Amino acid sequence: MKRFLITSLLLAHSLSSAFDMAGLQISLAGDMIYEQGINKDSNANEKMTMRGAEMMFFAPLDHRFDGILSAAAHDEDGETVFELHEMYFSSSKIIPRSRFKVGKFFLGVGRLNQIHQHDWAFMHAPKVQEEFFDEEGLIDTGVEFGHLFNTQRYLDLTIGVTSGHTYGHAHTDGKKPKVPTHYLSLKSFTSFNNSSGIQYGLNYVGRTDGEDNQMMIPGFEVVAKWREGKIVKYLFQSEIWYRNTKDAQGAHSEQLGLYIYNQMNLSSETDFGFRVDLYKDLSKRNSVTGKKVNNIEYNFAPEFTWRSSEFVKMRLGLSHSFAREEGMTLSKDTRATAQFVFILGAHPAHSF
Amino acid sequence: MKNLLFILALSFSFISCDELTGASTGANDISIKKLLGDISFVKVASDKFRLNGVAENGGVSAHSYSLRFEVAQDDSVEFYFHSRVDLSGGVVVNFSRVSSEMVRATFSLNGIEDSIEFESATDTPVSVIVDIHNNESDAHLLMWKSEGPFGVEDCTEEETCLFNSDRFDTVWGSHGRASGSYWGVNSQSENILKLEGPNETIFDH
Repeated sequence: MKRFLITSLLLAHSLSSAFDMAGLQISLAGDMIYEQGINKDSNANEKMTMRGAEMMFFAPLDHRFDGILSAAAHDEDGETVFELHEMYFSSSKIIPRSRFKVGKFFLGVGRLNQIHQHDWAFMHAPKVQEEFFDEEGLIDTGVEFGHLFNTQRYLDLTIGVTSGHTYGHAHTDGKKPKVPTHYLSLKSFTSFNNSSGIQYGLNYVGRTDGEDNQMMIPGFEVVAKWREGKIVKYLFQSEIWYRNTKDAQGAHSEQLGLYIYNQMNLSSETDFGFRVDLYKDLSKRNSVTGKKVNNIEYNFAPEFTWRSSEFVKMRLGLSHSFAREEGMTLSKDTRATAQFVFILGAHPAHSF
Repeated sequence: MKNLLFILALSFSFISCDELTGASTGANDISIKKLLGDISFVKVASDKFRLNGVAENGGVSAHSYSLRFEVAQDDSVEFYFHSRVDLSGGVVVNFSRVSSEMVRATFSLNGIEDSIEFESATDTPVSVIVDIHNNESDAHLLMWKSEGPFGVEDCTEEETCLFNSDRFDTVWGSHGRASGSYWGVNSQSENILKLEGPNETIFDH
């Protein structure tokens, strides 16, 4: 890990000196987490974890194309795993009102999936994000196309097809699917004033794996921001997802999850946020009685954020999660978490 | 904005309070009190039993299973994990005795098959823990002796596990996932001594 950071810094410095005139931008991000269990059943690992170290290079390639390359080191069970995160070229200058990208990237679907984890408004992935898309988000290799319709109402459509050889967490190369991963996202935006507005969108992800298991995940997202100048005074963010899988013999499995996040600005450098997660297995049956089992999982997570600047932020938060099934509480996990995030160098702008 | 919040609130009115609190519906009330290895079961076929306990998240989850059983010469005990309700389509682990001192465990999933042999005398029950990580793109399968050690990386070479599908140079790598969330066993019932599962995994990625 130390070697990775030193190499990154040296490489960044030398590249920056060599390519300053070509517009190359370099960004390094570090994300550190400490979790402390509060109840006796907590699974908090109670040690400082270097959750992620990301190195990103981005620049215009020429007058038409842009390029991005990012690599990340993650802590996996105490071991630092270094991997290519994104590598793609893109353009918004060839087809009017359209953009496309080709390569390896986070799929352009949903809200959280399109934002790097260290830039999220909260510390941990919601349950539905972890279960449906993997903790950090869905990454795959393929092509994505987006078009902003020439309508009075803001309407932006993104569609993509990726290899689908793997889906989610994978330590292998995977297998060619019967139907590759495909997705779409249709977003609209309504402004309240010059600096505030609400973005909402319909999303869909589908795939049929090599064993003929079909997966469909439709979802809906909402993000609303009220700004005063550069400060976001209030943020509302929510996603709801439904997953239906059908195996080769036609047996269905269904799950539903959502999160709702509210964040209020306390001062120019501090925010307070509160997130509620909900997750339900709609098709779980008792294997002996054959009856549908009533189950639900909740997580409540208040968090306090202090931003020294856009390059440094610290968070302190609590989370209380529990799972209930047929009138019984199966698990409870209460923990305190601290996060420290820093960014070296440039940082690409995010869309709303 | 107010309209949007109203619609969100209204959508929750279609969900009953009981569904939001996980209230009891009697689904887990098992009236038949016969046990197999201390676990309730339902007979699927002759000597084939579906066991109580369902993998989370529709089977796209990771669990461990603690197994203690006897396997005599010319006999076998077969376990099914993350299977459909008829115990098909999942990870199959077949234990058979190859000699008075050795047992063979054969792992099968989606047409891939792989075997290992380990020491276990005829007069001693086989006692193992199996981890099925079915939340990975290609399911990760591991097995240890119940008393450990519980190695993971290079564990087959270092003999700190009995089986690891993630080891280098194997038949595994594009086998996909198991299709279901049920588990079960095919064996004469008197061979089964103690079963536990689905539990939290021994090894957590």
